[in-house]
Amino acid sequence: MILNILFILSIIFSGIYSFINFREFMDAYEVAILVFSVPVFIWLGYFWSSFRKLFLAIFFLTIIAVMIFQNDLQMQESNFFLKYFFSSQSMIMWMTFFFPLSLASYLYSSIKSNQFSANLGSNFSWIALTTGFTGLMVRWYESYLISPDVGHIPISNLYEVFVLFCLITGAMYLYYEQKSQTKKLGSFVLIIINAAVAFILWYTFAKNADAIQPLVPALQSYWMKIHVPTNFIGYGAFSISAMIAVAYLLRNQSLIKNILPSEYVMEDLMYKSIAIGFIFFTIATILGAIWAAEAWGGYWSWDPKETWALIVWLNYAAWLHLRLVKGLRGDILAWWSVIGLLITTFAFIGVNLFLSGLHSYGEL
Amino acid sequence: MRFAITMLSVVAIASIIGTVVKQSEPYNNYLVQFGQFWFPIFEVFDVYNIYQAFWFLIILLFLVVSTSLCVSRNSPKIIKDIRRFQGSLSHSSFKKFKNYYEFSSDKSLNTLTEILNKAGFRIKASKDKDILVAKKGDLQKLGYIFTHLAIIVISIGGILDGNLYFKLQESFGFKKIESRNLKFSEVPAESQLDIDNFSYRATLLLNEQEKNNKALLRIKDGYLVQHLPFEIKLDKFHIEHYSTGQPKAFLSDIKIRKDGQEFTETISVNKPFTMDGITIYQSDFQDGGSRLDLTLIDLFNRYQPINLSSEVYKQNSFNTDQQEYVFEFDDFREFNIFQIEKDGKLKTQNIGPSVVYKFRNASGQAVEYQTYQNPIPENEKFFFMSGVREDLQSELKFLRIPADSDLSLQGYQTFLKNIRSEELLLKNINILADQASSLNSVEAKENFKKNTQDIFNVYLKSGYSGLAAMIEDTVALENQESVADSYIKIIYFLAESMNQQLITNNIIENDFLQDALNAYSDSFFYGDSPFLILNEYEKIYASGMQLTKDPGKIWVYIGSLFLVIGIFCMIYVQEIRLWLIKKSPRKYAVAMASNREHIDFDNYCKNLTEKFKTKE
Repeated sequence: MILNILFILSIIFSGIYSFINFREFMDAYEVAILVFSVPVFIWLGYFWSSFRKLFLAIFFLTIIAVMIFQNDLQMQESNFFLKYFFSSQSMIMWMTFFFPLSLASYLYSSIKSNQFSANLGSNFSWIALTTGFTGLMVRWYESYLISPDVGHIPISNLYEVFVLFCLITGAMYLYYEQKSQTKKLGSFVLIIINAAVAFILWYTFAKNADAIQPLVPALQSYWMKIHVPTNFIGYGAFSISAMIAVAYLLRNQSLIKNILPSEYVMEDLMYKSIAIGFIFFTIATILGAIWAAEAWGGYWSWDPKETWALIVWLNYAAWLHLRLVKGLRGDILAWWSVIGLLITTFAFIGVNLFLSGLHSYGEL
Repeated sequence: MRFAITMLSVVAIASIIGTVVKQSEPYNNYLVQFGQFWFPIFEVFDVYNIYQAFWFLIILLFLVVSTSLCVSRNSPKIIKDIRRFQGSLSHSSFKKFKNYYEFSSDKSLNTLTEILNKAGFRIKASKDKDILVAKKGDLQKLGYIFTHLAIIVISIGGILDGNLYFKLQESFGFKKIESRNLKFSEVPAESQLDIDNFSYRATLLLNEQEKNNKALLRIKDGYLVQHLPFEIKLDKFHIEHYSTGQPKAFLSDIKIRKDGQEFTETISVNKPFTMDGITIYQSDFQDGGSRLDLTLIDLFNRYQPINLSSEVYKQNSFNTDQQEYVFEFDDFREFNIFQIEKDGKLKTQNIGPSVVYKFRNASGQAVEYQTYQNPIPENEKFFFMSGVREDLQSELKFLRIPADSDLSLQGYQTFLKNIRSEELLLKNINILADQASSLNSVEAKENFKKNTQDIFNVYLKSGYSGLAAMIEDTVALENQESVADSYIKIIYFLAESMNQQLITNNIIENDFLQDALNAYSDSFFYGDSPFLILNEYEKIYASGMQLTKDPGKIWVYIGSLFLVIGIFCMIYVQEIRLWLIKKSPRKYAVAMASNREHIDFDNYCKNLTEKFKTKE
């Protein structure tokens, strides 16, 4: 009860505080997004009780970070707590520490059928989510400390969206884990999250990609705040379904037969995550089109990213069509979902790596 | 259906090809890329503009028609299905349902009806009072109609905004793509589109203070001229910068004149302006003929510096004793953002203007140069930089001339004059020979002088690479390194003593001589162009705007809305049919079926049955 009140109060506080203090940085659309996000977050907490704890943890950690910073970016060099815990960079590094730990625990629990270790796995994932989200929140704040005109929501380059990808995929997985009451799929889903973690580490240390860069003019729009997260809910959901599909395809292997949940549960989760992913991906693509109409002068320019988004969309549309209309089940759909992830991955990273076009912000 | 799927796959594959082959490039690039043989074959299939290809549009049109047929065929069935209640099945037949429960309850059939109503069921009162038929979730079936209609509406919107209409006009010979380089006023009428054209995406490039009421519509390897209902004038183009130097905003101040009225607007990226259904976007910018005031310095000090006033895009020429040189400016960039190392950290910094020009040598071959106005910091030192490349595919090779203590080129110019002075050379060789105690005889001294002079002259004539070639030809392999070493020392020593005056007057410092000797040696790859010093400039921009008229957009958006609603209905609305039978006063049986049965559905059925059972 206290938790619920605290949760709602903290959201309303965040909303009002942001409105009063940051009004000058927002245009009318951004104010609308802020106002709209208050009930959305409250609803999320109502819909998924664990979200309340997550939100409160992020809320208080962020406040602590902001208080230690005292509006001085240099503090992260000199202050011990900022340097090792509360600066966005170290928070994100903690995330990259806890996700592998979570995978290891899940794997151990699968091999030894150890329930304690499985619980540990989800707890580590929860900690990774808390630190990762706090990292992004603090990064948002830090960007404004660099200079008010540099400040922006940290979902604007490949480094930031990879962090976002880990977090969204992790959160969605934990939701399904609670809903389906099985921790047995953690060993599979955490693999793809850790692949992204590996990329973040490589990108940070080999390319110094973690520096906060000002936004190019094309990205300076309130649309980024809704287009990018929506898209990544799609990507995250598709990844989860593909990893569950891998588990599903391995269900008859004698070695891991016993560590998997029932075929029925896997099949159902595979469908559910593709369904939610498809809706969000559809919305994201439409939002992208509306943004493109405003920024590039046309809602559809057959830019490589757009075209590949269409191919991803057609792919999952066909998947859902086969399942819902034709009633298909089983291995074919599982294989399809794995291949779907390859297509999605190409649309997400491959296009940036190999093809040039209007979406060239995420170049390696 | 099978044919439709095949066509859909063709669209997908064609789309992929379109992302791999860069679209709408100048046709010459494709010719280079694919070669004589493949270029015309790909051209026949419109691979270079695949999304506008006739066959591509026809397939899309076919898909729209086939989807329409699909909807029109299935919709009546679906609507009938929604309105109809599945009649009373026999008890034995729904006993086989997966979700069949028998239960006893105190509640009357009426109370159960209320519960069902509350749960969102529609109930058909049966003549047979002991059986109740109910259903919910008809929206799921409507979802099918919604999504498919949405795709049709989106496609129609897209077709409205596509250039199908122009393609028809073109294929009947009413219109023709122009590919010659003409002024707008000289373009023939068959390549002009009038104001009434109902959809287009045209571009308009205006220099500052220039105006136009016609825009350019690029198609394939040519263009059309699109008449606009108003005239646009570009007052000024600005770039705003972050403190680090990166661009923050591109803005154009424009005036739109229509029927004697004038509107002043500023457009920028993400903030277009719409008038008369035409939206004006900031899409591009380039140089609009900036004025430049330059001094040309020969890198070998063969002729005196030349002063020149010019403009970007203008051809220039100058004469020296031997020949005439021609060059033209392609671009003038006021801002260049570099990553510069400072105190061990990389910092982004604006290092000021640069000019890009093509210089034609005696044989007429054009070589591209990019020269920066200001000296660029590098490890505590400063260099004047100019890059050169013979073809646009290769990287720029940089000539780096050290700046003197006043950060000017004066020191290097004096250095050039000094090292190329024969008088100074002989004088300093004599000093060097006198100092060398090992030279006992007069003959040895003269020999030394001659050799030293030869070495220096080879350097003057062809730089370090000339010396290297000479060493390779004349010196045994095992001695080459030590000989090269001593040659470099000799050259450095002579250069130092020849430039003693520069050193004593503190005009140069540190490694200047070393860097200057390297720069001189590198001048031999630099080609015929003199080094350009930019004294003053006046930047003039040209702003590229895009003008979009897209009446189909609203239909695309409406269709998109329906698409989302439709998908939501199809996925998240659970369709349920329910039969409830009163078997005896307190005993009931309920059967539930759905076209999609999964875990959630089973749980739902269980919960509903529990509600029937529980006492209030």
